[in-house]
Amino acid sequence: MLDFLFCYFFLCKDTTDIEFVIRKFIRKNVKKGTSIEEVDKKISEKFGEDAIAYQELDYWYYQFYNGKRSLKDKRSPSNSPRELLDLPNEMIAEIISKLPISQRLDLAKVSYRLQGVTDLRTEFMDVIITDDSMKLCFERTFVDSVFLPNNNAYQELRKILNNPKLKLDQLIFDATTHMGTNEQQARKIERMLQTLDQKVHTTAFNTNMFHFKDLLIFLPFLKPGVLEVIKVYHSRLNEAEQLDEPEPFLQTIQKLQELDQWNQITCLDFSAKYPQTLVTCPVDYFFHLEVLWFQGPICDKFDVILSWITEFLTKSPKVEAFVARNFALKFPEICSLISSEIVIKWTDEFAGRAIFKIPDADKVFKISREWHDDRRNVAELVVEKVGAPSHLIPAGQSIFV
Amino acid sequence: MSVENAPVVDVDEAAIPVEKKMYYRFESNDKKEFRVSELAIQQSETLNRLVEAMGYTSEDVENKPAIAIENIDGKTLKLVFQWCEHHKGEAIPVDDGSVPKIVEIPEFDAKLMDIDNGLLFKLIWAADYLNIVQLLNVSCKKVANMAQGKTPAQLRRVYLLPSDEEDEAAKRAAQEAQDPRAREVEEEFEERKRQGGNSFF
Repeated sequence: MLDFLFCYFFLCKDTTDIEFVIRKFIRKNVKKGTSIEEVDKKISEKFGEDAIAYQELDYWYYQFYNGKRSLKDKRSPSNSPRELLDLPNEMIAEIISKLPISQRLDLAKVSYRLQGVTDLRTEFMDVIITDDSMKLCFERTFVDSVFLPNNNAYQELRKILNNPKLKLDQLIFDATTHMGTNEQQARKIERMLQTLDQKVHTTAFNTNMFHFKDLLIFLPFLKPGVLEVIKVYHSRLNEAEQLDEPEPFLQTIQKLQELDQWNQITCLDFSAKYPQTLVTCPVDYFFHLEVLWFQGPICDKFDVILSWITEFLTKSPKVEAFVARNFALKFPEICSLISSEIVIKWTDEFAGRAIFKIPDADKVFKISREWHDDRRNVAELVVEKVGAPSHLIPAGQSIFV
Repeated sequence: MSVENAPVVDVDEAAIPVEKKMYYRFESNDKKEFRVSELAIQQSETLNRLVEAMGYTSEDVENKPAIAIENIDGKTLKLVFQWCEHHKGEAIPVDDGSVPKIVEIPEFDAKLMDIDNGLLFKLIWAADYLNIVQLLNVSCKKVANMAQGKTPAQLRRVYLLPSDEEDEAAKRAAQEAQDPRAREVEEEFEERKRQGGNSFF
């Protein structure tokens, strides 16, 4: 009993009128159905920012919420509220793991201890680079994203990429800067990648508005064997094509052959900037690929490109599919330029279906092109080996996002 | 045929299979006792293993002392067992190691967790101690949700996190404990920063 009285005295002696007034204020607001955030704001406005610690507000809010009426504090010292940082690290990590990565990054920034326990894992990352900032998107819908000023963007990016548990499905370096100046951006990324303690674990790697030769800068820092898909595209094709600088395409491919990362990919998706230069490369440079995609539009030198494709389809030991977007040629003409052996099953000039048998290689390909739903555009031209795994070419869709 | 004339059949009550529910008795560290169904206990890997190892019969459950859970108070344990009873028979989720973990908080759980942070943290601690996977998931999610849309200053207030200065002191202390030269390196870095370079990159 003495203990109880002592505790009571100990707790109550410092209770001031203002504390009672604030508790009363909280009780009134709980009764009105006000949210705890709103009550917090109101108290700051009415009584000043430091009028009550959040944990106290939280305690009293839920006391009244759950039916308590009395304003007297009946807590004993041993029963004081526990804080987040009272929990062991593994439980804090469990809590943080429930948050989207942009908020995990925020929490890691506000506390040294939280930084230590925060798992910055994500499966998707689109690094959108502008002149003075960077946007990191962690979802394809861009809902979970964070803006970073350039002075600390690369450090933050490094933190994420350096996580030993990181397993990305897709990593995208996406430059919104003018392509003529992107070499500087590529070098900045290279400097950051050089500081990593590990190679980046990603299944697919995309670059947008970077040069093809920049693959030589990025690929050495990606984990070989894990990397399966490379996509090099230009969302602002006009700008990419206006660049006079010739792409050392053949030399780049020759240097890429020396990289395990390149030799172990199975899918390559090219921008339309490159098909013309691609034909200067021997087809056996691409024999490790199962799928080869050309972006469009492809508007000229059809005979040269299609002859290269025929040789690739005929001789490549691993090829399962070839796909081209916006091949500006009628379906029968495409077929006849690939091979006179092709049997057209059906065509309405632009769309159609055909069979291409290669007797010596014992391979059969299905060739098809569909109309889009609005019938204003034809879909991709798809050359698919009979028996190819279905996940490589989902019906009418790109396997690349 | 009237009821009076109906043939009388002796029923051997013992022969009828009766589904017997066993209720275990647990006691919190403040001597509050709880009766919990066998099925509800299965939500807790720790308690489930414990009762399996004890091999109590229904008589033992009544006659022997309640099983003491010494690390958890009655208020928290009440919430834990309410949750277990409500979710009894449900499959226990398997952790696939993915991050972020997608967790939905059902209405019952949301209502159960309309409690102050102090009690909520005790609930998390209890869920972890008793290895109740889904309760740990939803309670952690509830705490995580408090971070939604908060500025760094608000995060510090809500989670009672230390200030930048306190944090820096903790960081230095941790670095020094790890490597006595860390402080020198840190100072050199700060000095370089002062001399010009804004950023390493």
